Amino acid sequence: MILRQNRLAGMVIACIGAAVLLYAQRYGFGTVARIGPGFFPQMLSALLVLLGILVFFVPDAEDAGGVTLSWSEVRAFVFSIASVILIALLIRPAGVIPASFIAALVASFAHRDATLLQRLSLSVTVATIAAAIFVYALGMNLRLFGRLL
Amino acid sequence: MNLIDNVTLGLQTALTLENLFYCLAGVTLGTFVGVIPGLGALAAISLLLPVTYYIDSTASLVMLAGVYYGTVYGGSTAAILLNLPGVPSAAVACLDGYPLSQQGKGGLALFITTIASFVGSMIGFVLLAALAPGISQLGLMLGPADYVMMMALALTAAGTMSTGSRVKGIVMVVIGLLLGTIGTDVHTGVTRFAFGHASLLDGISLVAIAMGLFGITEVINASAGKGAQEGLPTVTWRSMIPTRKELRSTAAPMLRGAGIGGFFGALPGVGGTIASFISYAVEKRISRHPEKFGHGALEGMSASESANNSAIQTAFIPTLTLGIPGDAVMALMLGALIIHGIAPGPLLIAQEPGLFWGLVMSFVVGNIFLVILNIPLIGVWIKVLSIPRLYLFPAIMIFIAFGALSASMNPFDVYVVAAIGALGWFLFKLGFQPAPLMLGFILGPMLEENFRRALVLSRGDYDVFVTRPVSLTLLIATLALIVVPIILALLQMARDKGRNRNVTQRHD
Repeated sequence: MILRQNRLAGMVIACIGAAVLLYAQRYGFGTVARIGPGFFPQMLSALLVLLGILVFFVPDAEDAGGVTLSWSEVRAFVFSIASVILIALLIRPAGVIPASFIAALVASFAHRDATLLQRLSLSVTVATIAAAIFVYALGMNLRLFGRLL
Repeated sequence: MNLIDNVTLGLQTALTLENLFYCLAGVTLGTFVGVIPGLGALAAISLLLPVTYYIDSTASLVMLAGVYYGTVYGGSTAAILLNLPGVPSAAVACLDGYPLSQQGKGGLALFITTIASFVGSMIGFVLLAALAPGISQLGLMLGPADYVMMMALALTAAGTMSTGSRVKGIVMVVIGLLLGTIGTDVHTGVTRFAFGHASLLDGISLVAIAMGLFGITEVINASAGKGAQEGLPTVTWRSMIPTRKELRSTAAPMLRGAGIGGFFGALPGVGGTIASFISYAVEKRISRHPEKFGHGALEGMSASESANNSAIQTAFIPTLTLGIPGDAVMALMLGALIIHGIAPGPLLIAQEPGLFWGLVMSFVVGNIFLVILNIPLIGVWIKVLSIPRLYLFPAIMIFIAFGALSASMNPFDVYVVAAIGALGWFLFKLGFQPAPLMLGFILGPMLEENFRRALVLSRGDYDVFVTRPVSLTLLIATLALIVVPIILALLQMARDKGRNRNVTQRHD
């Protein structure tokens, strides 16, 4: 069964709104003349719940065609996000060059059609450029090779 | 006189070696990104935001603005040669540009769009320089209640006028506003939504949001799509030169386009894409040979490109004079100002004349650069179209991660980028556009601040929003933006239903 896009979207938005609304109860609402820290978040999240319900009932656009995912999209998503997270994980322990080499190699798998040699040469290039721009040109306080290596 | 002083100051600022360099860097990068289908001004500006930490405020704005109008020049190149709009606003350029390219007149089309872009930019520039000082004077007379309503109008316009569903646009605005509340509340010192993370005390960084939304999400979408690498036409020098008759036929459309673009560009939420469609439609309607439109008519193409560029210039009017950005790109410009500790608002021109006039004059410099980049050097950009995406996108991912890191030297920000990127992609798959979120995020804290100030001044009386004429007018305009489309949709539904009934009756 293909779930209609706006049905799912509306539920997701209403749930996010409800969660924020519940969490924001801990902040004081204040009075009209002295608005508290909770006023804005509570109003906005309540609005989000209403909008989510509204989206739920809006018919899908003609070209939306339900919620569909293709493998190439999921693949691009997973490898791209993973490469960014790898930089955050590896930058301190491994250093700029190993971190960017590994992250670029992982990101290259977002594309299916490439030889291993292409992927490796790409990763070497990206690591070199990253070191040149961020460490030498911008002078970021990062090691080329970390302590763990 | 005053104007001459200002222009002199602006030229002195814009023509320093440093600002010339950043202007050239901006327009070159802008053209590069614009040529690549799937990447636009938002992605390019987001990627460059961390760099602005290392350079001064004027140079930052000169560069980021250069990227913006550079992408528009570059965007039409891909549109004409491949029938792929490099940026959304270039969609109109496909209509006549691609047929011209198929007739072997691609060079002519590229030449005419470049000239049209230049003419449109210069007319928009004159409007900006002429109107901005006066509007900022008017802005000084507005109170916090007026600003609240102006922001409400800008946010509603950004949500409802963007591509896709109106309700969903508003949803993204509200999510942006909520993300803007994260961090320490300046009025009460209460920390909101930090979940015990010290890194969230100052809120989510603008750089992280911009890179996650426009960097990661756009790259993922673009890398999943197919690039066109074969069948690139070659453009010769001789094919670019228009005949005198061709050139003359485009003069009036360029001027009309610039006027239409200049008007719509200054309005919140409308922007260049809509202005280019409108001016194309206008040219088609008044043309003596409308049947040629879509088959390589120069008039529509030159009008839409001129409108597009003129709109970019006038979009700076509300952003720089009132501190109210009309779209996500302008929100990022405002963000760059805030990063440098410059408060946007009606005092900007008076307090930072060097920045304002230097930026405005840099538009002239940058557009001259762009004409040089796009006419003699067009061959370079055609080559850019053939760079395999395999090489481009991993490099952009690494650049995003390091960029987020460089803003704060805190790996936490890189995780935020990944999280925002994932959220943006997930919401995009559900049919939400990322741009309105950015506007909400930037305007959120300002909206809350002015809302509180208005109610403190009125001693807690909500009447302040309806008794001030400016505030009331803006409130009515905001409500109209919401209500009018609903009424139109209901009327349409009623009409469709009526027609269906007629059809069924006929079948009986």
